[in-house]
Amino acid sequence: MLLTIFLLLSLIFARPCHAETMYSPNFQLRFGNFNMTSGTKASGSYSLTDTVGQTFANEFTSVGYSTFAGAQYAYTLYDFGFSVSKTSVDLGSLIAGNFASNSLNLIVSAPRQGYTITTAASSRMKSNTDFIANTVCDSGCTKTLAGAWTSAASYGFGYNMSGDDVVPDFAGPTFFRPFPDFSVSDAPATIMTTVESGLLRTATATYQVALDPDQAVGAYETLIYYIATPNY
Amino acid sequence: MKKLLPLIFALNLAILVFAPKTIANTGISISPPTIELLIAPNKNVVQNISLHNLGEAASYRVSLHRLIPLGEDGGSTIDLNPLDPATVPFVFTFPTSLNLQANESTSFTFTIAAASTDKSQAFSLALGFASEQSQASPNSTSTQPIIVLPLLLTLSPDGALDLSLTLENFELPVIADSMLPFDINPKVFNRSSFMHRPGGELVITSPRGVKNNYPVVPSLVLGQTTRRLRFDPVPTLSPSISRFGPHTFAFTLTTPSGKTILTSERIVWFLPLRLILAILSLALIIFAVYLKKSRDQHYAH
Repeated sequence: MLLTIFLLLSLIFARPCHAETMYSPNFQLRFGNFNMTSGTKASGSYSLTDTVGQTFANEFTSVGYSTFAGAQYAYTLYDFGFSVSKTSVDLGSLIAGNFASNSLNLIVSAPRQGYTITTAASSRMKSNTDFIANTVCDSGCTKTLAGAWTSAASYGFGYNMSGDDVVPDFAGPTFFRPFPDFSVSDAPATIMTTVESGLLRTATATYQVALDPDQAVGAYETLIYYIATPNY
Repeated sequence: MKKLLPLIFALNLAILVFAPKTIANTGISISPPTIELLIAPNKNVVQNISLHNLGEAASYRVSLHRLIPLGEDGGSTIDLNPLDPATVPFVFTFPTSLNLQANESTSFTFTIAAASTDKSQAFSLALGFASEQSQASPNSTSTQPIIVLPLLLTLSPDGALDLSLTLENFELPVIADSMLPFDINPKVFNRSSFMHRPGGELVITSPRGVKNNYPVVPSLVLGQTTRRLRFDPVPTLSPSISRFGPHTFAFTLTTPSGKTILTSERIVWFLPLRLILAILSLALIIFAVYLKKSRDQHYAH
C-alpha cells in the first residue's frame, strides 16, 4: 500500500530536474575535411573540393583557408535542384462574386539536411490605377498562418499549398494565406521545409482571387518569388 | 467573308508575335549546394560552381544577397534586395548572367578575395540564381524561381574563434511511463558570433549497464542562433514494458577534433505507470465489491 501511495505521489509531483550544464569557454580551430567526389579543381593551390582526408589546424595556417569539418555532408547524395512548372499563372477573367484560381507545381531535390522554400510577391496584384487587396480569408489569416477561405464574398488574393513538405497550417485545400509583400519590406514566408534529404519533392501552389464588385476594371498582375535554399 | 480572311490572318499573326512569353518548367540544380569557408585576410579562394538546367532554355541573373536564418533546423531565406558589395570585406567575382539551353550543364568560376583585417568576423551571405521573369498576361502572376547557394564565411587572421555553446531543451522528466514513446530533442545555442559545427554523442545506459550510442549529426550552428540537434540513429525509445528502472542519459558535445565542449547527464526512472494505474484501479474495484458484499452479508445477519 505504501509503495502504491509513493508511486502515485511520484506521478503527481514529478518535475523535470535541472542538472548542471558543464561548459568550457574556449576557442577552437576549425578543421577541414575535403571531399573529392564532387570536386572540380579550379586552382592548383586553392581548390575547396580536393580530398586530402581529414586535415588539421595547420591546414588553415599553411594555406589560409579551410572548410568546416563535417562539410562533406554537403556533397552527399545529389545536387540541390529547384524548378517550377510554369512561369506565368493565368487567372482568366475576373468576375466579382466568383473565385478565379489556377496553380503551378514546385519541385525540389535536396541533399544533406533538407531545404526550405519561401515565397513573397513583388507587390499586391495591381493594375495601373488600383490594387487587389490581400485576402483575409473567411475569418482571418495572415502572411504566415493560413485560414479557411470558402466565401467569394470575402475579397482578395491569396494562395494555398498542398503536397510534399508543406508547412502544416495549410490544413486542406480551402486554407489560404496572402503573399508577403516585398514592396513594403515583408520577409518571405516559409511554405515548404524539411530536415530530410529528398528527390523530386513536389508541392502545388494554388492562387485564388475574389473580386470586390466595386473593384476598378483593369488588367491586374504581380510577380511571385519562390526562393529555394538548401539547409546548412 | 473572303474580305475578312486577311484581317483574321493578320490578327492571328499579331497574337502569335505579341503573345506573352511563358516558359514552362523552369529550374536549375547546383553543386556544391553550400560553401562554408574559414579564410584568412588577403587570401583568394576559387570555387567551381556547376549548374544544370532542369527546364527549358532560360536566362539567369546571379546576384549576392544576405542570408536570413529561419527556425532551428538550418533553414534560411534571402533578403531579396541585392547586397551592396562595399558592406562586406570580400571581393567576389562571378558572372552576373547565365544563359542555359534546355538540359544544358555548365560551370563558372567563383572567386572569393578576403580583405585585410586584424579581427575575426563571420558572414552569412548567398548567391541567388533568379530566372529572368516572363512577361505576364493580364490578370496573371509571373513566377520567378530563385535558387540560393549559401555562402557561410568566416574571415579570421589566425583561425582562433570564440567557442561558446550551451545545451538547451535537455530537461528530462524524473519519472517517465515506459508504456509511452520517449523523445529527446536537445538544442544547442551558439552564444558567440562565429559559426561552429559541433559533433557529439548521446549515450543511454540501462540499469543493467547496456549502453546505446546515438552520434550527433554534425550541423552548423550560426552565431547567436539555436540549432536543434539531429542524431543518427534517432534516439526515440518506443513503448516497452521491459524498460524499467533508472536510465542514464549522458550527452557530450565535442569539437570536430573530438575535444569535449560540454557534458550533461540526466537520470530518468522508467515505470509502466499506465499498467500500474490499471492494476490499482482493478484492485480498488475488487476491494469495493468485496466491501459491499461484506456489508450485505453483515446486514443479512
